[in-house]
Amino acid sequence: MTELSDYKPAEDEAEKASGSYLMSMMAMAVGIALPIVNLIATLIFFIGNRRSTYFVRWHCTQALISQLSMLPVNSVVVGWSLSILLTDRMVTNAFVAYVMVAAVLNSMELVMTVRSAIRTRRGEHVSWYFYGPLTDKLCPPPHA
Amino acid sequence: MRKILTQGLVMLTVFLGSWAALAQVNWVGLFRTEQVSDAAETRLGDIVWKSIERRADIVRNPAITVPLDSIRLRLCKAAEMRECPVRVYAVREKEVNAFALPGGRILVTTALLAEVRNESELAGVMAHELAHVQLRHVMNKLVKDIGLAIIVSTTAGSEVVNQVIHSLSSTAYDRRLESAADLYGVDLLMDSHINPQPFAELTYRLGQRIDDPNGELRWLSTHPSSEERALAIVERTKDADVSPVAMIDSRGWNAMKRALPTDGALGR
Repeated sequence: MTELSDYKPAEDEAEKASGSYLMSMMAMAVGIALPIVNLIATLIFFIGNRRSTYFVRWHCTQALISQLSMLPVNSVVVGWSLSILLTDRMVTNAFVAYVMVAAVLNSMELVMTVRSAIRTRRGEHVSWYFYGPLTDKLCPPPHA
Repeated sequence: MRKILTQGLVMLTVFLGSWAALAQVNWVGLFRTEQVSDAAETRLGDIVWKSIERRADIVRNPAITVPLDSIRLRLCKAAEMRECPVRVYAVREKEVNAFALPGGRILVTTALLAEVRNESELAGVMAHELAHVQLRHVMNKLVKDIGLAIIVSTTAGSEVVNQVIHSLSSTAYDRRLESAADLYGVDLLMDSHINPQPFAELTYRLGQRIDDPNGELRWLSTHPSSEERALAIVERTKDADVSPVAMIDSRGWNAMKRALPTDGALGR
């Protein structure tokens, strides 16, 4: 963690790390209707860069697990909405509340993704709350 | 690892806490997502009823209408409806069917009247349909099937009316709503001093008739899993202490039965 904070990535590394966030952002328009698209896009980018440098792998992993956590949240929204549209299930206060919370989460995710894409492109390291420490655990430094 | 777990727990708590807190707000009421005004419901019910009156054979024979009215009044009293806006009509029809219209009209077919063996079975069907009205299932179903904008428009054309009639008479409510209507109806029967057991027997009996080549058991086709429903009704009533009070004497019941022809059709 400390090492990455001090690390000065090369131009192509910063570009690839930024690309991992851009990839999930680009798929977001489709992903709102079909949440798995976000995850697949990020996963493809992750696999493509799994042999890249530590800086790139770390940010690809953070982008991937953030998408992974949004998948169930958004899938519930889609599934619940479809059940309302296609069956006699009614719109309830719990449903409206859930959609609101999911919308806020997605907005926060979008803001964080944009911010991370910009900062990593500048060669800065960005560690998110919860996802950062989790990424440290899942993606240890090469010499660890 | 401890940091990850702590932060994960914080996020989960914030997520679930926000959801639980927001769910306390009456968003449905604020956005009026499912509420159609009573006036709009009554208006739609009147339009649909006029259309049915024009094309269906509504029974006016007192031998039929008086027993139906006796049960209706008993149920309304238990449901604490002061002026009893519910009306029950018999329609000359070969299909065993009953359904509720917006605004509180309930239609039962002469074939259903021929099918039922006692007043409690008939009251059970009526209580079930009344439950759909009381629990707003009728309007919610129409909003879902046809759309709110079309339903509340004052110029509901014949196409919309046909859709409403088809939706209510030929398509099923969601299983959850059927169960809710069953339980509400059974409570209503017990509050009305009507034995709910025969209603369970009727749903079970109809459920046993797997062969329905002529499609005459319409009520069954729109009320699936009758055996399961019968068991749920029995479960609901097993500890109940109901002292049945008759609504129709045997002369009245027999007169109604005599007024029904064997093929389900009936002269006015």
